Parts: sequence; structure tokens; C-alpha cells
Amino acid sequence: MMSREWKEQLGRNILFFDGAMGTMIQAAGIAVPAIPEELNIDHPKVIQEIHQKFIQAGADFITTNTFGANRLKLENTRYSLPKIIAAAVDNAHVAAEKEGRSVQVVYDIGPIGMMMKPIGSLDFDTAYEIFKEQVLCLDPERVDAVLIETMTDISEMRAAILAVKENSSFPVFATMSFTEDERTLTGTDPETMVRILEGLNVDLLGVNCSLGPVEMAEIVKRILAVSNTPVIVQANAGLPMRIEGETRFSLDEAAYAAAVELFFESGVAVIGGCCGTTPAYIQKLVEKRDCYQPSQKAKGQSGSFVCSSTKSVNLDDGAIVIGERINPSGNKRLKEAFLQGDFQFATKVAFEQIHHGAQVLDINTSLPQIDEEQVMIQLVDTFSGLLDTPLQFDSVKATVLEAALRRYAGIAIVNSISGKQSSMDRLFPLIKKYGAYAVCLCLDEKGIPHTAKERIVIAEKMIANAKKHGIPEERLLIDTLVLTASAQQAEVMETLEAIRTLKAKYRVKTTLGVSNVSYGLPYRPLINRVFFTLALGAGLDTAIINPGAEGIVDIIHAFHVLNNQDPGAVSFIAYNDRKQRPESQADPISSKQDNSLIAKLLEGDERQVEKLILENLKRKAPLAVVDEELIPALDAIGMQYEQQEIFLPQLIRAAETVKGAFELVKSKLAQDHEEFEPKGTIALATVKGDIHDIGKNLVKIMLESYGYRVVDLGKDVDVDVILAAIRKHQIQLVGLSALMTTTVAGMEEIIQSIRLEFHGVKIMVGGAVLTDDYAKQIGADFYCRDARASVFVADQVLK
Amino acid sequence: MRIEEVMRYLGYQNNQVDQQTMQRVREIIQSVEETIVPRWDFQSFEVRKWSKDRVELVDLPFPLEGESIAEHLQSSLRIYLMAVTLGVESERMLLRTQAISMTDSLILDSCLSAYVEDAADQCESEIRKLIAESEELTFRFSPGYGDLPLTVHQELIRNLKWDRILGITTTNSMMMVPSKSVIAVIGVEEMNEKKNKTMRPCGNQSCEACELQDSCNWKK
Repeated sequence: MMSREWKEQLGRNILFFDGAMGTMIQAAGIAVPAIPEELNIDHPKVIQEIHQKFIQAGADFITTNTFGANRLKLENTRYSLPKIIAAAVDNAHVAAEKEGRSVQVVYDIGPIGMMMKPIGSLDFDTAYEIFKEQVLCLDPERVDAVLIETMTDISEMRAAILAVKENSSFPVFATMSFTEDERTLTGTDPETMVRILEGLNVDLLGVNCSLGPVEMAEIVKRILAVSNTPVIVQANAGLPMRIEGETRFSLDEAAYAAAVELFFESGVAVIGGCCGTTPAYIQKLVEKRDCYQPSQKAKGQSGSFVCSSTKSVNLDDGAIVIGERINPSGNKRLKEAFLQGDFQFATKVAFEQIHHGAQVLDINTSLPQIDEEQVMIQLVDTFSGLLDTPLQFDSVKATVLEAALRRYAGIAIVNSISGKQSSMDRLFPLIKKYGAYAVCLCLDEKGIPHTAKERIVIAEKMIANAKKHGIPEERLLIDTLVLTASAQQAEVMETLEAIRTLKAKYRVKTTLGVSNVSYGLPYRPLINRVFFTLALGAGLDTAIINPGAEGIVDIIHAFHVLNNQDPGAVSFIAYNDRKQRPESQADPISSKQDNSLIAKLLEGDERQVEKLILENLKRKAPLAVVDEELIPALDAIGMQYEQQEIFLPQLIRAAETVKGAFELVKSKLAQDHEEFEPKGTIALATVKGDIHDIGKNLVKIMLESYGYRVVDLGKDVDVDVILAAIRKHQIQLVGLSALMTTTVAGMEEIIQSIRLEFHGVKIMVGGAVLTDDYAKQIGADFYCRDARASVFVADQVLK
Repeated sequence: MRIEEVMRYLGYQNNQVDQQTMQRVREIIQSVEETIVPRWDFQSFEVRKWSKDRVELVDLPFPLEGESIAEHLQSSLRIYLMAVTLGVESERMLLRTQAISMTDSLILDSCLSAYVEDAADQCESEIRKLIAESEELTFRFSPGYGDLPLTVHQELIRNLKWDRILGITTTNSMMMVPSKSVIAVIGVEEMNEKKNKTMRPCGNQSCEACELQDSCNWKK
């Protein structure tokens, strides 16, 4: 096959990749170094011969020996990255020349070996840079394609794909590894993988490693069913078996070829091998080439799917609720949290909406006082891998939208693009590049038109413009714009009329910000419900709405029955059953029936605590309630803890429960136009290198329960971040935690840096390996043996 | 997993546990056991060369360094390297729970610690089935114990492909992610050679090599 002819061959003939480089190296009879990429330079002949054997076996594509050729894995080698990469590419070419056959030289990229945020510490941008470094080493004349393989994290896969696409014009082949439960190790299912990879427009996609062809069969079937991109499969030689300390695989060449036949028949375009597959395996496959007319793969399934890294949501599946609550403009607590750089509250709001039935979450970070892009990035990082629910990014700033799309390991919706030429020119290319969906507002340079007809004209202009950018109309969610019934009553029905017309003529989706309609009217929820129902009837696909608002989810379930979308009303009946069941209240009868504040705090009985505090607030000034009720109760609970009458879970439960009581005090103060003054501000951080932060989080809860404000800097925190926080918040007390001996050393450096720059700042430390003596040795002012001890320190320092 | 183990991680020592906590622990144990599938892998290696501060293994391109690991393996001609993990889902559960309730996340953390130890026990008993009747296993010795450096985590993960097989990775500071993972070295000894050392209830033979020191709940 001549160079670059493979694209034409694709789909006409089954094409073949090589097999396992690692297996062949181990069998080569040389000492395998810890970094196998060194062999490219130290033993080029060995690598060349391996390539030659695969070429002899009939492989059309050979893969360079560069699986681990990244900055991190090559840290301890004597050779530079460019040198190793150049040698690896050379070896492939030397082999091809020796064999006198033109094959495709494919540069191989494997995982970095670190976990991405928020679970690990690898940042998206760092991952991108590590891949980019490799791509920049490649000579476009000597490499025919790049294979990104054995990925288990779709987020890391995306970083690699973008690094290749933005820094070269190589075709990109992307394969991921799955486990027997048909997900990757980080939880991505085959369909979601296909959608996300197709969103980035890869040239081949598929599955490799981890499993043999038999175990892989179902995964391959699922991929083929939805993919519109040619599919590549590289299975292991069966399952690994450890025999006398050696790894062997369960299938021999013949058994492997027999098992792989299934893929020939079902429409896989490119087949190769992974662990355990030698040239003999590949040869057996190639022999079968002529027995098969590559069956024309059926077209992938249709549907309009938005995705998180672990779940796809079909926008065609009835009315979809897009939760609108992560928006600081309508939520004071959230605004405060964003200002403080705290993203836990947003996570809480996210979970509440999901609990109520949101299938997609809108994220809006518009606040003039914050760096919107940074907050958006932090939220995307926080939510990635944490929420199953796909996201919709909501901003008027294109830079914010782009930052979010770039990092998001999924298929998102962009909210929004308008019919203004400038908006379309700026945003449609991003929609195309990242494979996203777009909310398209029916307004343009002249504003919002009055009639349905005029709005449709704008919608049609946007559909045509999107098409020019290669975006199919199914990816557009047209917002025909909700006007308030109080001001523009005559136009309310125009919105719905536009939906009806669009749905009849196009395959676009529709969306509305429903609750705008009732603005300025009394009894808004009723107006919202009726309008929402009418909109569903008109053909509305998605609604940006508060799923917790009364009746909204009710309406959807009922509508699905009436609209024949819930066969046998099965979902509706199940929903009704759930609703009828009372919330299971963990309310065991306490033997003593102790109704004191202390008892209720220990039980975590928020409602009773609230009741007790409200009663107290009638009799006492808010601050007196804090000083005379809450703090003494917490002290008493603390004493019980000291005396081992109660244990950590109860102590923390009480501290968490007291937070609700503080909210009541705060709102009472707010009524009197006063503000709750925290007793002082404390910065907490788990130091650089340490990712265990449960201890720090317990300290935070305890301090907050006593009325301190905590600036939580998180885990794995750089010293610069700590210094900046001390400066910004004029911190007098810093708490540092570290769990491991290795990270305590880092703690000492941080303490020194703080001492150098700030006088009088006190430092308390804690963590499993620390002791009082050890704390003194590293220069801390206080050692906290547990979370409660931090309260004593704070009381002492910030009195 | 045993509820007593979880309680021990939570700091209870034969004390009466309040009803709320007990109930939550039960619920969380159930959801952990329903959601999380522990995965493990192990591989045996022959000892090529033993000296008092390093052990070299056949087919492993780096030695296990340190006096404590050498002491641990002084009577072993063959060893097992094992890795156990609760996977990324355990980390997700922790992150999610932290956002909602710290009390639950404290309990969950303890449940997961007990669960991964459980899984390590199961892995060890699979290994036990493979040794001769005349042989016995040493306790599980992990990087970070004594002077066996944490960097061994990364070397083992890469060489035994535990990143691919189990999804275990390390951070720059050599901590494992997912954090609820265990990597350990187990020696195989002839039964009669086995020293009559007193075992600590945790499985370690002494507290000296252990990092936990005063924060150990077994010692309390």
C-alpha cells in the first residue's frame, strides 16, 4: 500500500495494524530496561527487527516504540525526548526500507501515568503540554498518523487529541481500554466514548488492550452500533495467565484469529493486536483478509446526545430539564461561595437539582467581581468525573465558553449564540471544533422581533450559517425567546407558534428559559406551570428551569404519558410511587427523649435544632443566641468527645448541624440590617504533594461551627497560593495538614516561606504522622492532635 | 466488610455506638458493597540476590532498596508483589459525599479503608492457595514502611502494568490515586524457618517501621 493511500483503502479492504511491541521486546533476549523507549537508541536493531517481523506478517501500519515517551516517564533517562522520538521513527523507517514494502509509520502515544483532576493531581493544561511536546518532535514527512492508545480516562484522551490536532495535521487514531464491565477504568461507556471522540473529529476510533477478542466482542458491537467513524480494534491475545512467574495469554494464533473473525464480519475497518500478539498472530489475521468482503458497516445510530464522561443523555428522549440554579445572580449563597473560591456549595446545588430531576445542568459564573474564566474552569474541573449529568455552559463571554469547552470531558451545550453576525462568527467555529451543541437565540442586531415569523427568519439564518461551519441542524437548540406576560402579553403565544413552525420544518431542537414569562406577576409558579405545559404541547424539547420548583417534574411525567412517550405509563407510575413514599427519616426513638439542643445536635436533627433556635431568637438577640446557646452546646459536646463519651462522627455531625442554626442567626441579623461578623478568618490547606484532605475538611467544619470564617485552599496546594491567600485575606492563623512523612518535609518549607514574608502569622499543623515534637521541629506554632484542638488554637490566637 | 473494623477506623473502641452513627455506617457499608468492585493483581518473582540493604529480583529491572525490606525478605527465595484498588469510583464517592455531608464522608472514608484491607486479605488468600504446604507467607510490607521508599509505588505500577490493569497511578509525591489502593511485598518462606515473631494486631511485626505512631488506633 502506498503512503497515504490507506484513506482510500479504508472501508474497501480490512487494514491491519501490528501487534505487541512490549511482548516482542521481552522475547528478544535482552535485558529489558525500566524505560523500554531507551532501546530505540541502545538497541535499534532489536526494535527494527520487531518492526520487520510485523511487516513481513503483513501489517499495513507499524507503531513506533514510544508508548511511554513523555516527559514524566522519561524523567530518569540519559536521552532527550526529541532524540528518543527521532530514533523510534527512524527505526520504523529502516525496517520498512529493509523489507522493501511501503507501510504507514504510526507514532504511538500512551497514557501519561497520572490521574487527571479532580481525582488526581494532573491538570488538563499540563497534560496537553506533555502531549504537545511529543507532537512537536515529529517530522510530518516521516510520520503518517498518530495513535493515541490504551487510554482509560477520556479527559486525558481529549487533551492528547487536541495536542495532536492543534500542533500538526496528522490523522488521529484513538483507542481506549475497557474492563469486563464494559466501561473504562474511569467509567466511560462505549457509546459515550464514541460521541466524545467523534465530537473531536478523529479519523479512527476504537478499543485496545486489557481484554481478549472474546471479552471485547460486546464492547466492539456497541461501538459499531453508534459510530459513524471507521472503527479499529486491537485486542490482547486473550486473558493473561501467570504461569510460573511469567505472563502468558490464553489464546494461540489460531484461536485468536478465529475469535477476531467476528470483527471482520461486523464491519471493523482496521484490526491489529495488543499485549501477547506476535507477528504470527498478525499473519493469521492477514491470511483471512481475502476471505472477507469488508461488510459495509451500518450507519451509526442517530439521536442528539449530550454527554458527561460517564453518561449520554438523548435530547430526543422527551422533555429534558436543564437545571438553571448554578447561577450567582439568583442565589446569594452561591455568589458568596464563588467570591470565596469555594466550589463545594455549587456541587451541593448541582446534586439538589439532579435529585429533583435535572438531566443537564446549566452553569453560569457571571459575577463582575470574579475572574469568570477561572471560576468556570474550576467548576468544570470540580464537576468532571464527579457528576454524571452533562453540562451547559452559560456566558456572554466567548473566552469563558471556549475555556469550558476545551476542558470539558464530554459533549456540552453552549448557552448561547445569537443571530448577530459577530456572535455566529465567533462561536460557531468553537461549536464545530469541540463537537458541542448550541442554544441559538432568535434575536439579532435589531433586537428581539415581535412575531413568530420574524423569529423564524433569524432561526433559519442561524441554521444556514451553522451549516456553513459544518454543524448539522440537530446540534442547534433554538430558543424562540420567552417574553414576560406582564409587559408583552400579546407576544407570549408568538414564542410557542415559532416552536411549532420550527419543529414542523426542521430537525433542530428547541429550548426556552421558561420562568421569564411570569416576571412581574403574582403567583408566578402557576403562570410558569401553565406556560411550560403549553410549550411542551407546542413541541418544546428542553427547558432551562428550576427542577425543584413545584410541579415542574410532575408536568413532564404527565406530559410523557399524554404524548405517548411513556409506554404503559410505566415511568409515571414509578414516579408516583416514589412521590407517595414518605422521605425515609432516620429518626430512631431515643430512649431518653432528650429534647435539649445538645441532644438534637448530636442526633443531627436539623428540623428540631431549627425549631429550638427560632424559639430562642424570639426571646434573645441573635448574637446572644450564639454566645449563650450554640457555643455552650458545642463546648459541652466537645467535652463529651474529650471524655470519649462520644466519638468523631457525632462531633462532626453536631458541627455540621450547627451550621444550619448559624444560617438562621445570620438571616435574623440581615433582617435587622446587621451582618454577622465572623470571629476571625483562618486559611486551611493540605500541603503540596498531599491529596488526603479529610482531616483538613474536619477542621474546617469544626472552625466554622464556632463562627470562624475559613478560607479553604484545598489539597495539593502550592506555597504561592498559601502566601497569596494570607495577603489577600489578611490571615492571622494558617492551618496546614499533611498525611505522609514525605509531605511533612514540604510543610516545613511552607512554614519557612510564611515566616520570611509575614510577621506574626501563626501556624497550626496536623496530620497522621505529626506529633507535638515534630511540629515544633518544623517550626509550627501549634500542633493539633484532632479537629477540635484547632478550635482552642483559634480561640487563643484570634481572641 | 466487618462493621467492627469500620468502627475501629472511626475511633470507637468497644464503646457504645450511638444509634444514628450505627445506622449510617450500615447504610454506607451497603452502598459501598453495592457500588464498588475491588480489583487486584499479583505476580511472583524469584529473588536473584539478597544483601542486607537491597533485594534484587529476577525479571524486575530495579531492586527493592532498604534495610527493612531486606530484613522482611531475609528468609524468602520467592516473593509476591501485589496491588489492590477500589478504583476511581471510590474517589468519586468520597468527593460527592464530601460535598453533601462531612459526617457521611468520614464514615465512608473508614468504610473504604476497611474494604480495601478486606480486598487485600482476599488477594493474599489467593496467593496463599498457590504456595506449597511447607511454605508460609510473610506479612504484607508496603512502600513507605521502614526505609522502603515510596518511589517503589511508581516503579512497580509501571513495570507490572498496574496502571493499565487496575488503573492505579501515582502523584508527583508518589501517593497512589485512587488513594484506596494497597501495594505490598509478600515473601514466601519455608515453614520451619519462620521466626517466632509476635505479630501486631494490624499484621505488622513491630510499630517501629510504621508511620502512624501515636495516631494508630490499634495502639490506643
